Amino acid sequence: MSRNSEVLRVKGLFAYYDVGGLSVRAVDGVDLSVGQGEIFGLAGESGCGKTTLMRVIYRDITPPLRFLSGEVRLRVRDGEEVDLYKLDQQSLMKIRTKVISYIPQGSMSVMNPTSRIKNQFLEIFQKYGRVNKEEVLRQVKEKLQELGLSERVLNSYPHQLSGGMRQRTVISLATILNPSLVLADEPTSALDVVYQRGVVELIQKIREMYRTSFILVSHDMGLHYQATDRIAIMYAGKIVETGRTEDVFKKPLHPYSEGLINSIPRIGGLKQLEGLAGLPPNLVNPPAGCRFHPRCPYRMEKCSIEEPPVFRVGDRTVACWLLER
Amino acid sequence: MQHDNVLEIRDLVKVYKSGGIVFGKKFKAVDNVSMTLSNSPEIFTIVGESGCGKTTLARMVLGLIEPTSGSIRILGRDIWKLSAGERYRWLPKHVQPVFQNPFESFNPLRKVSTYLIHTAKKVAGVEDDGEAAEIVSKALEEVRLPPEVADRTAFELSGGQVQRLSIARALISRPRLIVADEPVSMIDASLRMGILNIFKRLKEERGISFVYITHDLATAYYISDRIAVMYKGSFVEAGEADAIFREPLHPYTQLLIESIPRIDKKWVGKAPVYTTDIEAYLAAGCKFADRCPFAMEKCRRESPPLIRLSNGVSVACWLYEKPSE
Repeated sequence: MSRNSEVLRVKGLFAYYDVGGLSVRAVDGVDLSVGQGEIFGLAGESGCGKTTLMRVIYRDITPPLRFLSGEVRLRVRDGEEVDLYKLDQQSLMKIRTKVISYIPQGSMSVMNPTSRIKNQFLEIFQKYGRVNKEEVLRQVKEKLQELGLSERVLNSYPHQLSGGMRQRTVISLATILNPSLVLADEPTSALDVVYQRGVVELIQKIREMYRTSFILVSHDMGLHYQATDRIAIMYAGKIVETGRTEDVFKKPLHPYSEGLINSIPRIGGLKQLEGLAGLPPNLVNPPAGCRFHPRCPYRMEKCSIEEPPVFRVGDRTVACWLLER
Repeated sequence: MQHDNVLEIRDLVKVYKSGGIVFGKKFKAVDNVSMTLSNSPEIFTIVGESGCGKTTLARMVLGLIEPTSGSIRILGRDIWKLSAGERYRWLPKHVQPVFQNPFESFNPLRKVSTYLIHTAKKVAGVEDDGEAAEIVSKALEEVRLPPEVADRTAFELSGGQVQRLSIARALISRPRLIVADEPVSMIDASLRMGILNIFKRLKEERGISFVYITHDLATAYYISDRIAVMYKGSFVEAGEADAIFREPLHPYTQLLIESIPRIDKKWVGKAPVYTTDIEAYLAAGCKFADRCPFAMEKCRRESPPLIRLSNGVSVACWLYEKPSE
């Protein structure tokens, strides 16, 4: 991916939770980049820091979360880049929803229950000044039509919609101003399999029509395989592997990615799987060296002493000493 | 007694009311379900989407909800014909639950050992302290938990460990049947296999039968001997797990299996769009007819019976109706 097609570039990001005099190192040195029109998957198990990373990228920092250092460079207009952490509050508010949009986990169940969907659309536009209601609703209808959603939802209240419909409505709300990047945290995890597919289709359609980029956070590896172009695997506050989704699933290079992928039963496949031994570490006091070494089947002496750097293998990155030449 | 079926359910129905007392509608959350688990241990899985009635069915088997009609026999005894006191004393000795959220199963303030010894005395009827302690340590060993966990509270343990603990708790009364309702859906992917492997081992080594309730077809494939697919209160297809995954017959089973986010094959075609509401529970004919691509006129008029095919699979669909003699 060439540099000028990048929408987001994250460098050296650190953010900790301060709890009772201790620091939980939830985001501990993260680098990543997302290209234009790319669906970028962020995978990992509960407590690995996925959601925190999304909040930090959105600059949604409220105590006990504390931002330490790093850059979140976002492309605003062609060529022009801003670092979200160098902006004043006013410019930050302008960028949110318009350029970068965030769908937190469980959004579909926190829509205002007493307001019709159309008013929730209007509110977004009203944030940016006075608007002509009819004109805005016409635009919204047009957009829903393009996305293949029924405009009937506009007159409904959230509780009148099924889970799948509500989630698709939330996604269209988040993308109504054509942001260049959408952060979607577990958008399908509360839905049944049949509805999950509908949500993924909508995300792919938005990407195709408007070249919108997505970061899709999910613990479900199957969803990543189905929906994403590239994927990053996160473990204990760090990204351990990135690469094209297809390649990572075909041949995971980091032992954690390998363990994660091999612990998913395949229909028609083996009926004796072991999963990974041990437990994810405590982020207050993570293991020295590589954080995965206590659970790693390939660990060497070095792994418990020195933290592995990020090795490049073609267009992939892997933080594991096995890749050292 | 030894030759009785472990579980025999006949024509089980549970009616719920929705809406007001006067104008409310009644709907069947569980509609005419029958199934038998014989004397030889097996894992019988009930799969379906949220709201299909699978949890209601489980709770009736556990003696927690009274059926509207039909019977549930456990080791030959009709549990809903027992007096409440007798059911309370007798049932937990033979049938034990494992629930979805293990943290809700344990009192956060009590030590694990206090909890388990209490269970041994109350449920299994052990009087001697030493004997109770021995039963507890054996149960912990069965689920591969280190003996040290006995001195902690459940909240000091990880999700995977607490779920192992709730299985250990279930084992104390040496039950013949364990009803596990979504036992791994809150557990991280890399740890799930470890829990499911315990079920398999208990079946083989301890002769315990399982009713495994899940929405996740991949784990259903991994663990089941037989499965039943539930849709809006009824079984639409039931039989050997391998046969059903190899060649799903009911259009709903086909849709479910096609929708699994697999990690080895991409989805084909477009996701179907539909809504679910209570109306479908009330429909006269097949409840799947409004979503079914093969729906015929008859399907809307008349509800299909379970038709038993030559390979042992039963399917409730008019497509498989045998020509009348």
